[in-house]
Amino acid sequence: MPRFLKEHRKGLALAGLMSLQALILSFQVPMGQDASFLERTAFAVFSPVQSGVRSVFRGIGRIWSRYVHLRGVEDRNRESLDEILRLRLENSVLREGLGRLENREEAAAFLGSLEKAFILAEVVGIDAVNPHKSIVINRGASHGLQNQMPVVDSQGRLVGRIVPPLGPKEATVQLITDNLSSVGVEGVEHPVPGMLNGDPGSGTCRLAYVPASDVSLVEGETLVTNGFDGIFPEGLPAGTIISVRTDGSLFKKIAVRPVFNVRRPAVVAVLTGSKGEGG
Amino acid sequence: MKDGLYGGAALVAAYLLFCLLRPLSGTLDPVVDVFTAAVLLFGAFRGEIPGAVFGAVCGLLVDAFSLGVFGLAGLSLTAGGYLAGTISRKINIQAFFRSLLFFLILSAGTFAAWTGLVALIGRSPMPWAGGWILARPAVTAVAAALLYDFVRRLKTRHDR
Repeated sequence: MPRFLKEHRKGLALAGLMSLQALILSFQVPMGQDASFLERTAFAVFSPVQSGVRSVFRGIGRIWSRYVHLRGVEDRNRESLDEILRLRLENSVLREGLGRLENREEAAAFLGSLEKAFILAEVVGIDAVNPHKSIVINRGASHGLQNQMPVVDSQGRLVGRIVPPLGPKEATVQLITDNLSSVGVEGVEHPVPGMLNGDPGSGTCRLAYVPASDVSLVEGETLVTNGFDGIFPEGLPAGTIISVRTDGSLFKKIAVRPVFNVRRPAVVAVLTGSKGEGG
Repeated sequence: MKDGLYGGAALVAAYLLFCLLRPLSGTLDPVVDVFTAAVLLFGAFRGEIPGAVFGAVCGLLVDAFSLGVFGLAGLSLTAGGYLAGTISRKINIQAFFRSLLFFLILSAGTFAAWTGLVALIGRSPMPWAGGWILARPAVTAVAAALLYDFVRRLKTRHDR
């Protein structure tokens, strides 16, 4: 080994590692590209661990309730809760869909398609850097999930959408509170359209592109998706306006509190049937 | 070879702890930083090169589980691991309060580097959590110093 390399071995190793990271960063220019091979590999290898850890602790927790205390009741309760969730989501999708149908044949075809309308999934991980940016769920490409599919919580409220990296058994969900998320929404009482962008610093959202001249949107108004973005179907509750102000610019500054709650591990539903329909 | 085995075991342990703590930490999510503590500890025990490599791997893992620019946490943790290894060989950090100060300075430096990179390259708002994120370096330092002291005592007892 040349003397120079020998003397500066440690410094060169550090420089090499830092250069490698800089190279990885440079591959992501321009932003918005798909996840890199390295990122997808790391996600695919380690994401099952999250499901495993959660399963182990859930299993330990269930030992008491399942085998010692109230045997069988917990199972039936869980089945009932799942059934309620399924029916609630089905009801939500039905109401939204039937409102748009004009004849009996269309209604029959729509009802037939409901079997594949959504997939239930559990939240097994939260974003490693900012909990308001993304979550990881225990369903992936092998279950039929694809990028851009909308995700709702157990009450049918908008949570986000599937984004890369998408693993075979796990998927990443970009929350609507992420700063790179944009959702087409409008008010329930006053259907003024706007774009809902996330603010992961505070865990809230901002409603953009509402003209300063508009006076109809006020605090407390509920916002629902309008389907204009081509990703989210219309009618999903997305947030509630918490403040409205103007600062002399063309558009209002509107802060919105999202209505979903995935702070603790929960069940979500991926709307597989609505991908690309968007309104 | 030995560094690789220790590194693999430490990575698995850190990742399991991360998976366990993440859903439990509630609104204080950004305060708990398992990977920075693991990288600084590994660097202090194994030296600068293993520390830097371990930092790079941990950083890329953190980035793989976060939306945003892949490689940001890797840069700051690589530097953190390297510095932990270098400085720990030049000063005495055997006493608890010395090690606490050592880990506090390094975790604050790593945090500052990561914050700067996120602001410059990531262009993503920080998860302030009502200002609690500023407690991250202190929480990381206390956790790392306690673990360092514990492992050092175990090693001493084992060597006897």
